[in-house]
Amino acid sequence: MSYSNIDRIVKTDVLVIGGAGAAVSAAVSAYEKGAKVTMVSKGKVGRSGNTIMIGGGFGIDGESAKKICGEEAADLNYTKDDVFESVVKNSFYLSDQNIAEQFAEESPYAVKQCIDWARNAKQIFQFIPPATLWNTSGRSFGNALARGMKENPGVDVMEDVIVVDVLLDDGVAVGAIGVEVYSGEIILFEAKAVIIGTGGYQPYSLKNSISDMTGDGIAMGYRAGAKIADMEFLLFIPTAVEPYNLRGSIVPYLFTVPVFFPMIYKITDGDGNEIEIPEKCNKVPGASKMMKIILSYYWGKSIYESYDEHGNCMYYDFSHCTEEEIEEAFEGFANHFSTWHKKGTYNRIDLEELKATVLRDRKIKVGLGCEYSMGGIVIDENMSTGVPGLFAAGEVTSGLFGAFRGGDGLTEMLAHGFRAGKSAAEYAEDAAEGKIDSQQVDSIVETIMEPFKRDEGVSPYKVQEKIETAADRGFNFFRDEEGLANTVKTYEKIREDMIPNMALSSKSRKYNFQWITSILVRNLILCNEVGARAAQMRKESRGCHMRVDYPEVNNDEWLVKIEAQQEGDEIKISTRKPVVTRKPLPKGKFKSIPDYILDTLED
Amino acid sequence: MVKVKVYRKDPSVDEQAYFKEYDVPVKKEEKWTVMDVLDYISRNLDGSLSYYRHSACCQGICARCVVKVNGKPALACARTVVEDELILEPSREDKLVKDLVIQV
Repeated sequence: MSYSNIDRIVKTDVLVIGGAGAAVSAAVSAYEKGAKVTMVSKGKVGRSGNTIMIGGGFGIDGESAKKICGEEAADLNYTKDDVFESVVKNSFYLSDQNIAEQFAEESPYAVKQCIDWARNAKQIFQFIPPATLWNTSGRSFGNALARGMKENPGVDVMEDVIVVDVLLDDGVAVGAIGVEVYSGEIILFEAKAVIIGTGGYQPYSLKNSISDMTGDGIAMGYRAGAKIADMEFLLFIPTAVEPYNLRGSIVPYLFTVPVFFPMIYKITDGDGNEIEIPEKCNKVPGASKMMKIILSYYWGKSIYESYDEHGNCMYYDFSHCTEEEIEEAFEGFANHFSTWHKKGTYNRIDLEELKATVLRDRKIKVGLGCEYSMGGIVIDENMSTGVPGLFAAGEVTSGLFGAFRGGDGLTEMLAHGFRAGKSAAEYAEDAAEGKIDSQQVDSIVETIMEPFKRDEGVSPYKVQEKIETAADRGFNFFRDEEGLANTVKTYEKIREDMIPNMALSSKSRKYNFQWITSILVRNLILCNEVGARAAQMRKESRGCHMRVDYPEVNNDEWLVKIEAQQEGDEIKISTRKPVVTRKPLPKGKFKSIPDYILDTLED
Repeated sequence: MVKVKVYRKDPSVDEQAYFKEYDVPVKKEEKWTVMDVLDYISRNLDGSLSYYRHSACCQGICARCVVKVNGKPALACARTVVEDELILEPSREDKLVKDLVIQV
């Protein structure tokens, strides 16, 4: 069949959407099962996606690290049960335990494969005994993934293609529509199964994630009929704000880890007053993932309180440190990271220049930036979305980490991809060739081409800015009823008034990033609106959802997941209990998030 | 204020490349990068400008935002602006897609 509005047609068995860890793992796994696989990436494989933005490492249980991955020095006391327990507990019990079981059981095989790619690509994945984790950098991880694709040349890879929507035949996934960014060509994919591995969403203006975390996969999955959940939970870490050539860097977060940056500095608010963390929190180990919540809680609360005056701003204050201490700490930091980065640099940052700034100004301006979104497409332990033929893997899903990612995102994406690939290949083997609904194709193409037809209207860049600043104001780390209500209202208005009125400065389809942005903001507005609505609905605090007006962690009323599903044009919101397989859900209330964390430490 | 001259050409329309000039309110002490300058232009002055921006890490990791800055190739996201005048060109004209975007 030919279509007047389609420039190219690609046929495959398993279509994998995404280009980083989850997608590569899924593509290889489906290919190994014998399926014909096409992977479609928004950027270049190994140089795109949130995977390359990482600052640390990933782990599995000790026995597997030793027996499967060959790490003799692994700590055998850290078992699969411990992996399961810690993810579930750290999720504030919102983890779907069937997903947590899959994570503990299957991640070692996926991790082993990735470590092999890294070794073959001569990348350093440094095992840290006796812990059971490997340290690396984003670029190294990207190179390992690129190697994985090189070792599997049978997988067709299409890069710089942005997938717009999944195609359905009577509710069954049968393909997708995409746009090639450079040429502007519109591509129709016909497939027997589709895997979404596109990463999470990032609602705010301050970014430490890759620039395009617009929740494409989450929104595509939703529009295809899948449920999405946990969208109110977003994980924050300290992120550089100024000067601009530091902006978005996670170096301030890395400074909080004592082994990387052994120096005590003060944290001050926009007025120069010290923000203190109560002594009782010293019990939380510095390297513990829970520390991220503690920092977001105390620093975030202070930022929230003076947001009108100073915005998302605090300072790392080195005024009381001696020159020698600063020199020494920077040297230690540079040495540690020189394993992966050019000596004296951390990614684009010249550490000598940063040190000079610190020595001169004695402070750097920092905010809280979103690193990871816990929410996404609801899946089962086979990575099936409930829409026949549609699977999802990695950060684009919800289920594993609940209210807080207390495990490794890298391990998650590999483990999910490993299973999603197998499930999709098995499904594709038995699936009949689907029928492409030309009406749906027309409607998708018409929607994305619409901004070209309008001579006047709002710039998609403006729409994105509005969506992000509304999230900055009312849907940030600390939340209150009024802010959330205003944000939800703003989103309804953007959805109704701005999205249908976007216009472009250039009518050329060639590398028209304004046009691409017009496609992406449709995804972002959906994710942000669902996130803000869930946050407004959740009248408690839990994990990364912190409410000033409801500080209690309330297991009696709110140990539920908030889910959204498309019903006509409406967003239908409902709640359900997390899936329990072996760890019973707790009862009771805690005065605050830190109280909850301190209490669970004692278990 | 920094004067920024930007190479423009849409090969499907333009036979010849030309330069367009923009005034960008760069504050030296804020240490703008070339990417900040391009973002400012496209968001405030001229939305039709094409430069590498999709799937951009903005941290010097993906290394895809190469442009010629005053004659020398650099990563737009990692190059701090210290001059009063900038000339921005594509890093390879033989691989030009549009304006500053090349495809290799």
